[in-house]
Amino acid sequence: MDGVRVGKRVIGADSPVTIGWENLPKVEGGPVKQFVFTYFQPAVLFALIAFWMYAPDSIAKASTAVGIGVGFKVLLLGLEWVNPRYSSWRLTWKELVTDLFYVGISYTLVKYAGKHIGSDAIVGAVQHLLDWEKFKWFIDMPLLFQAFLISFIFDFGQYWMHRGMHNWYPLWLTHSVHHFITQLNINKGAVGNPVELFLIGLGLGGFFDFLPRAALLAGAIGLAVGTYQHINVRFNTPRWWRFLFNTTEHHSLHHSQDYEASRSNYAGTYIFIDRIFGTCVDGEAELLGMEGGRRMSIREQMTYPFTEAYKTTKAVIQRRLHPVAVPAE
Amino acid sequence: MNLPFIDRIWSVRGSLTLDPFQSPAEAFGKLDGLFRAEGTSHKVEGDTLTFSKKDPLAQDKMATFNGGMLRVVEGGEGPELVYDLRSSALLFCFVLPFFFLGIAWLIKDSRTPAYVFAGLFTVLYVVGRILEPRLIKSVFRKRLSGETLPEGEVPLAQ
Repeated sequence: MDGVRVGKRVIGADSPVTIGWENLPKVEGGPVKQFVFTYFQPAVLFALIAFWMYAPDSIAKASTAVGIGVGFKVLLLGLEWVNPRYSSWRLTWKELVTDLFYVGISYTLVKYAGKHIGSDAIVGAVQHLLDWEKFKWFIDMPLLFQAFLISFIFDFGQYWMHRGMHNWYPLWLTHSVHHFITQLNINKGAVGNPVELFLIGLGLGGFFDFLPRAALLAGAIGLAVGTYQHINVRFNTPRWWRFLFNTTEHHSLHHSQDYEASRSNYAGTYIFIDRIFGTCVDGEAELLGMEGGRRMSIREQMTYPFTEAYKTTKAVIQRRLHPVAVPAE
Repeated sequence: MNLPFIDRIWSVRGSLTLDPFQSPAEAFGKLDGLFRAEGTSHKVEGDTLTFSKKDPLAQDKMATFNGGMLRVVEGGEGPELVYDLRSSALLFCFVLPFFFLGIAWLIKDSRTPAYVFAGLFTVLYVVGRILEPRLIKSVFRKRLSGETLPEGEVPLAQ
């Protein structure tokens, strides 16, 4: 395979990818279907922003956000059924059970760890040491700007954590498991080793004092944009959206079996962060995964980072203790 | 191990009537593609086919089942394909409600989501226990009647 030159890199030399928006397939079907799958994403984003900006306090609560989140995912599962991107990414009963197992772990064990030893605990400890009152001016800014800052600060942190995971072996060990997924579906974002889910949840947003409503609005923006990273739906995403935001197309390239393609599109919500740092590639891929697209069992997903770390450490120690003699020239 | 009642949790049994005079070799020949999927090994001995799967691909038509036996026997109305399949995915899903109830019991902070997921996996198990036997029976029936794959679908056989 020749691949396609993108900047200084050759993308698609190992596995087929499609590069460039003009080369991607469009939504097929009648005018109603075309309309729905062109304007669905912006309509939901603007509706959620309007809701969280203007809803009365009696309903603008965290429990409402959870309800909207669950309802939105059920709706998207329906869209996967109606208009799949690839038939080779169809959701099966077994895939759904596997995905939801990880979602369940995220909502219970990982959340518990985050609260007691993760960012919640760290923020609590550090806030006692410094005078965070100085940052109170944040809450005087417009609500939507506060919400953007919260989601941007979190995503900026995630970008570097994610890029670090692809470039530093100990972090890669935890993240590699997520790259063994062979298809994208709504809940695939949760599939991975729990250690990674814990690390990716670490954020800096908690240090700043924002209005609670701004945090809910930020969560809604993340929901209405970030959810499309892992989804098997074909959209005619508007040009401005795909310039600013991460999309299924971007993220499918990131999950491609092609090594160079997988080292792109690290941001979770704002793809313009990748554009700024030169890691953005516009396009999509169907063949996903690692090691030729083999599917990893849950048992292996749980143990892989540790068994691989053991094997690597053992090999390094053996090389140190018994160096291979190099013949003299 | 013979566990006649408990093993219904993870076992799927069924039978299909074959065309008259169809030999075991002919029947297994029509099903051959299913057992050539990646991660699958199989063996045919006379009227019996045994198979096992390791980490089947997500789109493998038999991905839910990780082993089993198919036999061609003489029934009252001619030859029949009798199958006995086992599924660690069904067993895993059956265990998950207990796992999340355990989390609810151990971690008070996570009680509500843990109960929700316990309920969700109970429903998913019931759905899977009804749906998966129907789907696999349909896959066997289509293959045995010589139906071709839908357009655009490629066989997983390597």
